[in-house]
Order: sequence, then structure tokens, then C-alpha cells
Amino acid sequence: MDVELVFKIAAIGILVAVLNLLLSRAGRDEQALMTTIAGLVVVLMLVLQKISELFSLIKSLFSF
Amino acid sequence: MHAFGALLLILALSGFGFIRTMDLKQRPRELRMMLDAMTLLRNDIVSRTLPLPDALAHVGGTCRGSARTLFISSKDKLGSSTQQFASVWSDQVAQLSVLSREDRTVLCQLGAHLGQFDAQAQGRAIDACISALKRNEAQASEYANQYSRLYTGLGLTLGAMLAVILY
Repeated sequence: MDVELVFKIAAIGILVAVLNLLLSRAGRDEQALMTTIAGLVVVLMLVLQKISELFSLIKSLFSF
Repeated sequence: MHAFGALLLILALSGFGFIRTMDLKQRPRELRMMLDAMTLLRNDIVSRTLPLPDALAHVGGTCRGSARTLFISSKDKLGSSTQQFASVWSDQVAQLSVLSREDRTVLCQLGAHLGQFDAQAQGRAIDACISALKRNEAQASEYANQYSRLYTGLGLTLGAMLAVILY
């Protein structure tokens, strides 16, 4: 298990939360929402390969 | 080596945020200096009844920042060219890039009155200019206070996020 990936995702989550807070306090709610969505997209891209491996594993487990 | 690169990235983006913050704070500072200069100009024209070139020289020698540049260069151009003062003043105001378009418009409107009418009328024109610049300065200060922390925080956080993603 790649622990570094977990820490990376946690760090991105914390930073996105800080950005969201900063932008919300400045009255920029739309930009805060966009930042949250962008952070989500970045994290999904990071785990994309792991998700692909998971689906391949499930497929190989259930294939006959 | 990775850590050094990450640190450089964070410092670079934080620097951008810091520079933006400094730019935001510069306009209210320049407006306050311009207000001081306008108060001196009013005093010179209305109370001391100085001719316009002498008033410009006196105020330019006393104030600082873009106000000093405006007054000194207007006085020099007035003496060396045959243009009307309003035209000379507008040309010099147009070069004050640190001020906004609204600020420059207020200053250009003042230039149309300086040296044209009696001292009392010029004093009223300067008073109107001071009122408008005070409003602009208050708005600029509030905007700078509200957004300076945002830009600093944004630069630091984005730098940290990029460093984490690329690490």
C-alpha cells in the first residue's frame, strides 16, 4: 500500500479547505466552490490509476 | 532536492501574492499623499494668493510620491511649452499609472479650473477634488484591507498545493 499517496491526498484536502475558507471570507463564494471542485478533480486524477487497478482486479476476480 | 524545489515553488507563489498585496496598498498610500498635496495647494492659492507656477513649485517641493512628480513636472512643462495648463496637467496626470481611472478623471477636472479663475473659485474646485479623492481613498483602503490577506493566503496555499501535487 502506497502510504505516500494517502498523505498527499490528506495534504491536498487540508489546503483546499484553507483556500475555501479564505475565499469564502473574502466574499468569493463561487470561486471557493470552484476551488473545492478543482481539488476534488486533482485528487481523482491522483487516484485514477489505483481505481483502474481496482476495476481490473474486480474484473479478473469475477471473470471465468 | 525535491524538498528544495518544493520550497522554491512555495516561496515563488507566496512572493506573487505578496507583490499583489503591496500593489493593492500602494494606491491608498498615493491617494493620501495626493490629498496632503491638494490641501497645501489650496492653502497656497487661496490664503497666500501665490501664482500658479509658484504654488506648484512649493507644493512639489514639499510633498512626496506621485504627487511630487505631478506638480514638479507640470510646473516644468508649463514653463517650457506654449500649451494651456489644463492640457499640460492632463498629460502629466495620464502618466500616474499607480492611480485608478476615476482618480485621474478627478485630477483632470481640477486641472481645467487651476489658473483660470479667481482664487476663491480655484479653492472651491480644489475642495471638490479633495472630497472626491477622500471618497476614493476610503474605498481603496477598504478594498486593500479586505483583499490583501486573501492574496497573501492564496499565494502561500497555492504554492503549497502545487508543491504537494508535484512532489
